[in-house]
Amino acid sequence: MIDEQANPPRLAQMLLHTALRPHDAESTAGDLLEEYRAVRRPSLGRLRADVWYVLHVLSVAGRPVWPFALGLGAVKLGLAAFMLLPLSGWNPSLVPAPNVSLLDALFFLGAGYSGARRTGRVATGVVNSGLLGLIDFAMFAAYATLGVPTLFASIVEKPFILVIGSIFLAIAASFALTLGAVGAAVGASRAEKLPS
Amino acid sequence: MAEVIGHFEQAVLVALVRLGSDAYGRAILNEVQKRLEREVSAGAVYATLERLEAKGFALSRLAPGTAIRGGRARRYFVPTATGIRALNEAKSASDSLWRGLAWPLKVRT
Repeated sequence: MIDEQANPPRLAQMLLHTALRPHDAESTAGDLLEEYRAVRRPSLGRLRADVWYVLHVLSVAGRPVWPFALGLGAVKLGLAAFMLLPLSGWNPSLVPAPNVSLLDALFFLGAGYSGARRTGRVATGVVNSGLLGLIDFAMFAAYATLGVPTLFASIVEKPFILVIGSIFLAIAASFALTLGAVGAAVGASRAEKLPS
Repeated sequence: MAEVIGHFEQAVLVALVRLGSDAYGRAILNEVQKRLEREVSAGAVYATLERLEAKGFALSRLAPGTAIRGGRARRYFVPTATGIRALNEAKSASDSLWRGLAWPLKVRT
């Protein structure tokens, strides 16, 4: 039965609204809401319909971030292949934590700049760099697991690893959001002319 | 000669042609999924629509929304003459590629 009052997760709706150009925000959000209410929620139930909605929001919000994620991943893989990572001479880091380096900073600035330039909103740039920060951290976790295959299994015996990981994540996320905000401030001031 | 369009761009543009005056985001997403027989992300379709508009292959206009959309407007898309020409050329190139071959191809062991 169609429920015209059913609502998808609020956070995902906010993310969608932030990621889109004002030109597209209303129609795109309306399309996903219509599909959610008319088809997905009645046929899948609340939980699976919410998952469907969140995945599609991420596909919309994450699309502008992928070029940066692929670029950053490719550069890091290339450097790792030549055993340069994590040497710091060319890629200085302010703190001894992962994903807080000059290379990361450049990509976060770029993601923030391009997002804000696209929509004219600083928030879009911050969301872009935040998503890039999460992807970057996931890449680091994968890289660390390749180096130490028992890393995740040993969390049970040594829960302190989780604490250290959480601190690293918090540092990396703060770095990504801060740099993204700087890039976004510049990008918003040079926003593309948007169609009405 | 019109600009070359990719496979997914063709799928979206053909969906616009098939849907005619009903071609708005959600309908296009469902039509593309139906024709390609796989789940397609909304992000891929919206990015392609944006690219098709930027290339001049499609135009869009806003129309009032309905209650089930929370009153949010619908954006309807139509292919332009340039878009239709590009589709015709893509089809012609594909047909030319296959001309003279018996379908389906036989597997040589």
